[in-house]
Amino acid sequence: MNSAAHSAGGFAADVCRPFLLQSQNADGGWGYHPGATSAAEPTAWAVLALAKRDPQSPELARAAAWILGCQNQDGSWPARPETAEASWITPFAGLALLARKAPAAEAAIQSAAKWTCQSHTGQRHWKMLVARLVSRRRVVGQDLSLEGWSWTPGTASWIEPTAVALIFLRQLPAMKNSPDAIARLQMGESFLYDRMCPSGGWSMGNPKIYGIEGIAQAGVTAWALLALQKNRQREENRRSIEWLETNFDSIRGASSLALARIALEANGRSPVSIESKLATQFVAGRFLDSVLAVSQAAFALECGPDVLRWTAAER
Amino acid sequence: MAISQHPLMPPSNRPISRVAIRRVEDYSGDLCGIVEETLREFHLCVAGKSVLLKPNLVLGDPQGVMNTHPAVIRAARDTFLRLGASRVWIGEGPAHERDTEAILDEIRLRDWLGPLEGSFVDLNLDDVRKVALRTRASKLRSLFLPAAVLDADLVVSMPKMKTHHLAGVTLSLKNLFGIVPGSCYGWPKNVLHWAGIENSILDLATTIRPDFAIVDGVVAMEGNGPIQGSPKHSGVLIFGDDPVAVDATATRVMGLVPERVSYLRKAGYVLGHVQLAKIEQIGESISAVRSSFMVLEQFRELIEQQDNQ
Repeated sequence: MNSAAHSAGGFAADVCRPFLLQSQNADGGWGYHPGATSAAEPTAWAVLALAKRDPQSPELARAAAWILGCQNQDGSWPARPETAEASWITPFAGLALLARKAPAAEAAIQSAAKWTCQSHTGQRHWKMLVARLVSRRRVVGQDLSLEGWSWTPGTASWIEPTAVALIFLRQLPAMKNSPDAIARLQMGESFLYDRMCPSGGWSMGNPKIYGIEGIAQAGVTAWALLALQKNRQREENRRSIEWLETNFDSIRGASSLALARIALEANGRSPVSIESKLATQFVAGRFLDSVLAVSQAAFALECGPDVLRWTAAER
Repeated sequence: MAISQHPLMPPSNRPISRVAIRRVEDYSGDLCGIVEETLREFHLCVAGKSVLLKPNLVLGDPQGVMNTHPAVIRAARDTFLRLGASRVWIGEGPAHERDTEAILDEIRLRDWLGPLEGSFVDLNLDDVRKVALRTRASKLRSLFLPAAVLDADLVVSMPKMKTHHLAGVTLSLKNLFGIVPGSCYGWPKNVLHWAGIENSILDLATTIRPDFAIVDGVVAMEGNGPIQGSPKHSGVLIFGDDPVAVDATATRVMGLVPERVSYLRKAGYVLGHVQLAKIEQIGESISAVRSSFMVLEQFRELIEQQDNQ
């Protein structure tokens, strides 16, 4: 493709889907780039991007088999098969399996949910308990007693893994009757609100550092707003939605742009047109050949928030 | 193979290191000429080798305060190619922004370097291999690291000269955090914080000891770095093939005492020179370019003036 123009099929159909279908590995997974070793995150994103059109396609069946084959005994997924260790990708892999609507994956999904509920950050470590006693709230402006989810076991809570865990667990009706899950969900929500930048939006983790407000980022803010979408009328949500809308035109990077659009749509805003901007960016640099960015663009254009809606379990 | 072959040995057994300080008032000058002239003085064996340039790209920052300036990256790339490198990659794995493309776009890296396809690698997302760490300063023991780094013949660390709210200063050794892949460890690579920032820097530095360092101190950052500090015009590029000596020199240029930066002091025991007497200065003298960088309260003991009080 040598110009930003595309056919009536649109950018997702003309560019994203062919890119994804051509870059699927022989083992059924996707790497972060075409030709790269399969990893859980790009595979899960590719499944989300392609599942709306044909969830039972042979490509997605192979992808689902790859995902299922990588699941650890305890229900978690490693970020990459070679790393083996449980990771933040677990709830996201669960979301991808949910999107395929394949009954065969039900046990794996429940097992992932159980792991997600039971996994804890390093905030219960005695060093963190001591740190909490000599609270650093004045330094980083946050409540260290609140626990979300971490990227890797035994480390601190961060916005994106917490948001993804909340979105996943809320998809599962069984979680509604689990006191443990309910408590965890409530704490996760509180964590996200506590880490919000005072002016709206979220940075990677800290709302303030030494009294200076953190720099809110579109991608992180999008994840938090997706996780908190049921509270869209809350003042904090409105402030952050406004931040995202105000900054929307200056968002750079296909991934951030796609996530921002998905989040705004999930929060009741009319879909913003991003197709021509994405097409122009793709021509300029092929999104750095990122399977994530291409998948997220396709998902934003073709799927809408759909499987990322917190109310999905009730529909 | 970028697993360090540099021997770990005490300072008494190592030859004197050389560090070059070049005065560069702004990014519009002949950076290529300065970089080439300086690299030739180090007689680096570049011909036929693959080179990975590792700049410090943190967040979109069009003012050029937070990130290694694209003009410096371009000058290094063009120079290594002119010196006969078979290939020059630019690789970075930002710790505070998952959308690397957004950073590259905001700092207009393509405007400076041309198309990045086939020459830029997002180290957060590259394929990985497990590597045993050469030292046990932290509890990490091993890390998965990007193939692009492990497969490079030469690794060049190209940090921005900044103060750091947790480590004191961030230079060519701390810059190595950017090679630890987010796809394995998340953003901002929190395992390194939990293992102890200073000890993690040391383990990474001994394992992937950069073959060369180029510090962008033209417009540096002081105060609450590495993200929320203030711009500080320092007007220097600092070069050397001993990254510890380069960082020690840069720290002195910032008006701070490198022996008081914990990880630098430890790196001086095994990896490179911190002591002034063990570093031969090329180009400008430290005193000619030294300025006083503001630091956060907890790092006031790093300030050189306190020596005389």
